[in-house]
Amino acid sequence: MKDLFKGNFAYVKNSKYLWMFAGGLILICLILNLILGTSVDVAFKGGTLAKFAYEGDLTEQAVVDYLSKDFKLNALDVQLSEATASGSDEKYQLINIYTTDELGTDEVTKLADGLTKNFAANKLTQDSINSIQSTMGKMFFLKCMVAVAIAAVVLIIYVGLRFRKIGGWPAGVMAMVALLHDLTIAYFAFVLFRIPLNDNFVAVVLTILGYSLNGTIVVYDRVRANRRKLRAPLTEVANVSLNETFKRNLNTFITTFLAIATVAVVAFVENLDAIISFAIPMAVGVVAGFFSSTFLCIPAWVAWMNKREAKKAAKERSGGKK
Amino acid sequence: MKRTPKAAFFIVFVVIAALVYTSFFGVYQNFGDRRDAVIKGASDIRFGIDIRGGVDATFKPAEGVTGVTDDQIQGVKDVIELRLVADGITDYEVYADTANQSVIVRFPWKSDETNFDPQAALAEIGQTARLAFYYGHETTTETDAEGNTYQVPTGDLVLTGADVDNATVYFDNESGEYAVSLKLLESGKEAFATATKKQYESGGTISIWLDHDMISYPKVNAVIGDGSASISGGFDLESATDLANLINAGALDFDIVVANYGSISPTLGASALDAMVLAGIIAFILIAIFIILTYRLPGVIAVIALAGQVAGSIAAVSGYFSFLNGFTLTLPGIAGIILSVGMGIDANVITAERIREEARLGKTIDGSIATGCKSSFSAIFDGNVTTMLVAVILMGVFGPPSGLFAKILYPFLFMFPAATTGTVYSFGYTLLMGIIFNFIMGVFASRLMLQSVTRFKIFRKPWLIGGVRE
Repeated sequence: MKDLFKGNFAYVKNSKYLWMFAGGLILICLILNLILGTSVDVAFKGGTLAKFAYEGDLTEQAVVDYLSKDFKLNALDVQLSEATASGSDEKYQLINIYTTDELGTDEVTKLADGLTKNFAANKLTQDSINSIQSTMGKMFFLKCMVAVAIAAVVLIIYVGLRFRKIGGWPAGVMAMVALLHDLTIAYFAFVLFRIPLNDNFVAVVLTILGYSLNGTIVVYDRVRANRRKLRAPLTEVANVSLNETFKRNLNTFITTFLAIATVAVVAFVENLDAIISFAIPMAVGVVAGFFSSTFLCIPAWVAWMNKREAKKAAKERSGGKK
Repeated sequence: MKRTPKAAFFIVFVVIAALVYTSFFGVYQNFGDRRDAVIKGASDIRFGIDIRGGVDATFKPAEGVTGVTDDQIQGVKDVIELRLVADGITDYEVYADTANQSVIVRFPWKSDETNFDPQAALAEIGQTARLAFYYGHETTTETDAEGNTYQVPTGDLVLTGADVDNATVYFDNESGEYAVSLKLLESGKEAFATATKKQYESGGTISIWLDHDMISYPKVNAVIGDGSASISGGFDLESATDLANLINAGALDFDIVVANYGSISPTLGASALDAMVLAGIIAFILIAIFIILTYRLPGVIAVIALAGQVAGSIAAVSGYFSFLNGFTLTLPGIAGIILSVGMGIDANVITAERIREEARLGKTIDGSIATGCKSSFSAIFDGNVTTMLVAVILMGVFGPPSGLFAKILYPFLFMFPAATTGTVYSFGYTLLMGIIFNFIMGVFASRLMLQSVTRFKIFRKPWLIGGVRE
């Protein structure tokens, strides 16, 4: 660790352990994911999510009993939660009703009227409604995934073209692997913090792709410059370059993390769900992006390039024998 | 080498300070009671419905309706727009998504509204349009059971939307103006002939109504017996298209239904805005402290540049620049501004690190700065390009289908519907603007300031740019 800050850390040699660490972490997250499951927001899965504010005491069962008696709703799920009202610390209570049915405006009005009458003592008011056709939700999800794929491909092509002098395609592919790592970690952040996957997920993933690649590019850029300057084996050039750029990567990581972590903390204190679900995964993703562009991507690329060199050398030798 | 004059620092500084001040506070002129924005400030920013509360809905033709044309979808959009304006809602967003035959509507609650009923609001703007033609254009005011007042025509009914075939825009070579040509169905020809005869002889008009709005009242210049009329006089392309779209929408013989909708009550939003502004201020201060402690003089310059970048982002959403319309700012949009502060300082960090390296090698101050600035450019450029690509893709995916970026991505995403929610679009925009202003401030302005400020004797110390203390 001391070597890291002194600027003579053997990145390539130590990358084995760091890759193992990353792999282990992903494995643990995967197991946790299998246990916790993944929740998906209405925006993607479709259906209706209706929230009503209420006062006094209420049980989930009472709402379920009433709704299943008067309304035939598929896959009904009722939960109670707490939120903070605007401009004060006053907490208010919410009923969250989800069904896979796509309720139209008329049906929601009927539902709201029925609930308000039946639970008159709780003074229900409509807080927020989301009703999405499941086909549209699913198509939107697909669109987001295609967009992520397009972004990844465009970025990799860009890296490949910019760095073709130092072996563009391996550089691009390894950058892609690093991005996959970031993407996975960002996804797990949603799972572990029990945040439903929504459009924020796409914003987080794409931003992290850009951020992480930015860090990777700075190192590749330095490798390109140092190769001309040092005329040393690639492993050494990579180590020198990574050490030289470490301070930059670290400091940019600190400022970016400070920015998004401040947002996350303030959102957490103020109980702003819409922002928490954006800022926390983004903060986690920034850490992942810093880690992968500093420790994972370049060493793996060096290993690939060295292997390629060795193969080439072996071929030449056997070719020479003939 | 040409040296940067000492005054450059002050000029750049004053320009940035002026930008910061005006973009936050705006410049206003008072005309009696009216307060007009000469330059729009932060108070002119249009906030998204996730902050103000409001409704977000997608309208589609009712199930079983086929053969809907793009023009008809455009007509539905225009009718919805007309109704929103009639309801006193002016800061709405309405997009026609012709590829998916849907119309997307977003509008905030009116600030004085106390009774939030999104279902009723959507039912009202989504109802089938009623088009009607009346004798004359005199009106009287009528009040309904709920106390709403309407303008109603006093003349007799001539035709309804059911009698209208279509309306199209054409350019009249004789008058050199645009005009609207109106085609009636068989059912309406006789009534229209009678009406035009009567009004032509008396020099009267026929007014065209959509719901409770009189959209046009042309003077009758000829008796029209074949059901094919033209409405002309004072139209440009836009106003003629509007009228034709509205008539077409009124002649629609299909209903539209709400396919998706979401509503947010205004209680959540306001505190969220305050919290995000607070988060922005704290983040800026933390980053400023960190960067000044780490990079000394280049750090101070970076903070000035960063203030300019934030001001630029604010200006880009408030409509400060006359060439950029204001942009709806959502919570993720604000997060985008804050995030681009953290990310944007990267340009200064890369440059400052390079300068420091050069200074430690024992180069002169001017030499270190010149080399540092030059050698850091390619990394900064590449880094900004990647984030910019990401921002453009985000805007294309989440933006309205008619947007520039959506059109760029159309070959890849044409089979998909428009986004079911709209908050991320704003994030893409603030991220993109953050990067652009970062390029101006973090690269060019910073460089100018640094090169000129180090010409002052008290700043000519290697330690200040990260070298070893003498």
